Amino acid sequence: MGSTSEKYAAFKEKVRRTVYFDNLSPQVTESVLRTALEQFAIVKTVKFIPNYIGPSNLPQCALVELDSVKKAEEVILMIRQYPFMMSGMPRPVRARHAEEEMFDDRPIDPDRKIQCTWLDPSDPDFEVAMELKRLACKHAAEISFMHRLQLLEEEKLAQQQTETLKVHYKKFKMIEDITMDGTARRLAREYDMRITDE
Amino acid sequence: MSQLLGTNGGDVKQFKWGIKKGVGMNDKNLQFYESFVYNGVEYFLYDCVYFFHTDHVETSVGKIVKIYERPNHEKVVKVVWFFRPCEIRNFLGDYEPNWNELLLASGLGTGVSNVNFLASIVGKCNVVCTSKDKRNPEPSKTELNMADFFFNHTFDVRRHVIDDKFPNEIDGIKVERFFNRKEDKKTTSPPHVGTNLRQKIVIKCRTDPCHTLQCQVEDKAEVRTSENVLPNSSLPPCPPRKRKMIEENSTINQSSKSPEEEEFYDNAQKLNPDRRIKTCREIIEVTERPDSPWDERLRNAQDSGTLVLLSNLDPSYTSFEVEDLLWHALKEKVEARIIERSPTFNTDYGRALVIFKTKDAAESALYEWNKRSLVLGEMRVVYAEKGTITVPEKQTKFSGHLVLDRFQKQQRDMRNAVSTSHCSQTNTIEYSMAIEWLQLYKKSDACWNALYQRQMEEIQTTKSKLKMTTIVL
Repeated sequence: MGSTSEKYAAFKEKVRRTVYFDNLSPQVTESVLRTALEQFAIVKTVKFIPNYIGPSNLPQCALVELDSVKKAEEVILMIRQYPFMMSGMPRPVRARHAEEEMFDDRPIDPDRKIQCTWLDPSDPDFEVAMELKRLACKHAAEISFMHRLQLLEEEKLAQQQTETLKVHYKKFKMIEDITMDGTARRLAREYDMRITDE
Repeated sequence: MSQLLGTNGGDVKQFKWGIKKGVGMNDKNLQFYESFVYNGVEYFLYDCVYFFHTDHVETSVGKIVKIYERPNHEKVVKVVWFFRPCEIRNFLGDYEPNWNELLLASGLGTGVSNVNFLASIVGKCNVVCTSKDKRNPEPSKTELNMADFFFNHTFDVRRHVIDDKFPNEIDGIKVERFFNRKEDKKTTSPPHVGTNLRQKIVIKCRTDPCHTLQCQVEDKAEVRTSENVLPNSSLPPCPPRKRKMIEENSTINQSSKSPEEEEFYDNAQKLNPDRRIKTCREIIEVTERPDSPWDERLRNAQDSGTLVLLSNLDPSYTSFEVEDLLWHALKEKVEARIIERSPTFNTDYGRALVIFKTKDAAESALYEWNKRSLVLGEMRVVYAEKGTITVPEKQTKFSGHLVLDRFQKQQRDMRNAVSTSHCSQTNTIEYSMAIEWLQLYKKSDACWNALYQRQMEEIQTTKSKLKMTTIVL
């Protein structure tokens, strides 16, 4: 018993040292995460959370265990303050504190007792139970719809940003071109303006 | 001594009793034996065998410690079990077992041994003890190479402790019986008896029919030794661990399943009589290497229809607790894995993927869930459905990560700089775009929160209709 509760306590401590990352590109690998975070803290373990039943194009999520609770908090605070890019831009990653339920291999809470019962159709509460079951089913459908919606929104923003970027690019290209081919200098002379930076 | 008896059981085709041992001390109706021939293989007391049960992927390995026939001609064997490491993985702790390691059951309590029908034996299994115990004759190199499994630890079923010390007796059987057989014993025993080496079994398959035909001798001598003594109760209470097997044998195997099972053996023999045992071995290696990756097992489970997704569990349950829950609720031994909490899912709904041993087990569980309702604490009604897993998509593009022509044209070091992880500088286009993303994240969070709140309200409203407020704690 002693060892189980010790193990549980050790696990709780580990959870506090762990940072949960989401909105990760599928290109992000363990080594990318390690190099990205090792500028700030010592990375102990990296674990990607497998996506077994969500939509296949959801961004990746990962749990990164750092060497101390303090470092974990610092990393989270920093990523909240400054948009942090990993394996691409401009969509930043997001970091938050890990929770116990985010670990599939977490140990059993030694103090917990579980009880369950089967409700037969004759039970007075059976109907309500069925209703709750249907509700759970409906909620799951709502959530998966929400996922789709969210992915659409993200797609939309990405599309919009691509456009903006193209316009910016065109603008910069034009400026570059006229500086290169002497048009800018000619025009400056025409209007008697100084364009040299020095 | 080596002679076999021709007492034919009658109902099973390929079955012959071997050497008689005597009748039970307390119950004269029980006839004990030292050996029998089943499906062309001769089995002796203290042989290790594989047991087959239809709803389990794995076979179980046990040592025969008693062989007897009940007054109603039921042929049974008493078996002390070996645990596969995965069966007791909750208690392994720091102990790291080998993939072909077993742990001998020991201690007092349920799970050490039980009585099984002889027909559920699949074949012999070669288990070698590598314990350094003085009482254990050291196995030779060849013996080790021949072995299917080895063991050098016991698992106490009551204390849940793994120990490298062996008690003097296990379930009333002297521990020497569990160690390797002594050299001298091997030589004194008749050539076709005793050893459980692989080749010899094969040879026996060929010669056994002749032996059994020749030996129509009635043995009248009734030897009674202390080992014959069996507790009066003919069927000990089923230990939880192997209970499935007993239930199945007593109900299905006796009636409907038994022809099927025989057919299975017949076919196996027809196909390749001499390699039947080997075939069993192959199956075992493939299906249950303890280190076979979970993802693979998951895919296999989906393909074979044994995968079930449970939702509306308590989100704080661990995978082990889900397994325990299904054991208590359905008496099914399953493999469970909880789905990790995600900020983009209602955090009140705990979910788990469960792999049942067989398709039938999975379907009957789903049927049960539809017919009745499994209710957990706080009136959580577990919802079960057939599990389908997402096929991982190899994505090259990630929406929100823009590729600029400009950077592609520019020098390599510039591109490298872009792909490094970094914090955004405030005076860049990148920064303002990143802020747009952060806004979108915030908006999504707000949407999710609103959804959870509405869902939780709906749940509360429905729960308030309950007539009995405390069904479960």
